[in-house]
Formats: sequence, structure tokens, C-alpha cells
Amino acid sequence: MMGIPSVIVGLFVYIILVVPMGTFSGFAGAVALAIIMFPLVMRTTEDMLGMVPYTLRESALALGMTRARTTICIVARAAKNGLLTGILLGLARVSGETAPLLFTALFSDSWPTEFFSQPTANMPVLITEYATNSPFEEMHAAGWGAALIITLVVLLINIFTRIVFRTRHAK
Amino acid sequence: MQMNNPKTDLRTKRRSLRFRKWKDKLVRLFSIFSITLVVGGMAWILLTVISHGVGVIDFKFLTQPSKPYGIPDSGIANALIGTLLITLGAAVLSVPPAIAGGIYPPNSENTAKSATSFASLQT
Repeated sequence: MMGIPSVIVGLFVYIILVVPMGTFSGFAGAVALAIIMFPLVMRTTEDMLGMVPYTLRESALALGMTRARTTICIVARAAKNGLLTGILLGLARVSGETAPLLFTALFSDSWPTEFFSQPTANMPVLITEYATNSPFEEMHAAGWGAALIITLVVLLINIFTRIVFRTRHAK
Repeated sequence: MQMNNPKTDLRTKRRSLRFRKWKDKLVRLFSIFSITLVVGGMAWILLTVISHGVGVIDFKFLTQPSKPYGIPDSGIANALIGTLLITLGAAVLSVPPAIAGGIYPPNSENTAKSATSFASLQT
């Protein structure tokens, strides 16, 4: 996401969702992350579908399939792993975004029960808050713990997608 | 006649073998240096996070919600679930239109192509 800095996305969602609704909410955070994720997934989808040989498309059309059926049943199926990779990498990329969540989901000490109408706890803001706005050593330590957890999760998603993608290609 | 022109005559540009070997070594050293810089930097980040964070993580840390300072057994479970919800919500909102938008351009006319290339400016 080099076109629009993620802070600006957060600010935008703050203006169009948080201010009219009168409350920070997890839903607004989801909208902000969705805006960041959208071009990433669209771009990988485009590339992955472009890798499907055009002859495959033509064969399906020659057999009398409609264009919609060709795209959904043949092309999208052939590129299925690529699409999943794109989605997972988009998720991994987006799950560490902090700036948009500061404007939208914020943070709370309670369980995320009111997703649409209450500030929702989340990892990146927890790390930021504990590391910068707290004078207590105990909270610094908790921030490091949270940082380790989120690092491991993102790393695992990346490794997982890489392995799945590679084995399918080798077959 | 033109062959004698120093700008077009390749023979005059030949360097000694020693110089070329020396240059090869220099470039190789530079690439090795750059790779260690990048890989080492990432390893350093990972090691810092692991060394600071590994002592904190236990069962309570993963299953209790965060609490204000001073109350024992504070954890990150609510933040974990919150992040999960927010990220999944983002996926639900963005994946269907993104896939649809990605399917459209290869089969379509110029306006759609320029629209998607505008969107992909943001990746």
C-alpha cells in the first residue's frame, strides 16, 4: 500500500464511519483494513488469472461453455491456489497495521462482545499502548509478549502459504 | 580508419586481467555485504522480539483478557480475539469485490483495464 498511506485510510474511515456512528468500533477497523487489503488481493487475482494459459479458456469456450461458466469453473479453479495465496498474504500484511486501527477500533480491556458499537481490543494497538504510553515495566513485558505472538502468527501464515503454493506447483 | 577512433575501437578499452579480477572481487564483496545486512537485520529483529517476549508467554497470558495495571493475571486474549474478528471482517468485506475486480480486466475493454490499473497503483 504505497499509494495511500495507512494513516490516511484510518483518518478517512474515522470521518466517514466513526464520527457519524459516534463511537469507535471493531467494524470500522475492519472497514479500514478492508480498504488496504482490497488492491492487494485484486492485484494478485489479476496476476494469477493471467498465468492460466489462454488455450484453456479457448477450449472451454469451444466446448460451448458461457464466459461466466468458463471463468468460474475453469479459470478460477485452475488459479485457486494462487487466489488463496493472495488472500492469505493480504491478511498477513494487514494484520500488523496499527495506524488505521488507532483511528477506528482503538482499544479496550473488555472482551470484544460489541463488535459494531464498542472499541475493540486488538494486538497492534495493544503493543503500541503498552510500549509507549505506559510507565510500568510489567506492561512493557506484556507488549513484548504480544509482539512475539503476532510475529509468529504472521511468519506462520507466510511460511504456510509458501509451502502450499510450492508443493502444488511441483505436482 | 574508423577502427582507429578510440571511442569505437574495442581493443583500446581492454583492461588488464588483474584489474578485472579485482573488480569481480569488489562486486562480490559488496553483494555479500548487502545480503548480510538484509538477512542479519531481519534476524536481529526476530531475535530481539523473541528474547524480550518469550519469558512473558504462558497459559494465563494467552487466556486472560488485558486488565488495568496492578490487577494480576493480565493477558492478551481479548486483543487476540479482537484482531481475529477485525482481520476476518476485513477479509469478508474485501475479498469478494477484489476477486471480482481481478477477474474482470483480462476479458474486457480499456476503461475497465485503466480502472484496475488505477486501483493497483495502491499496492
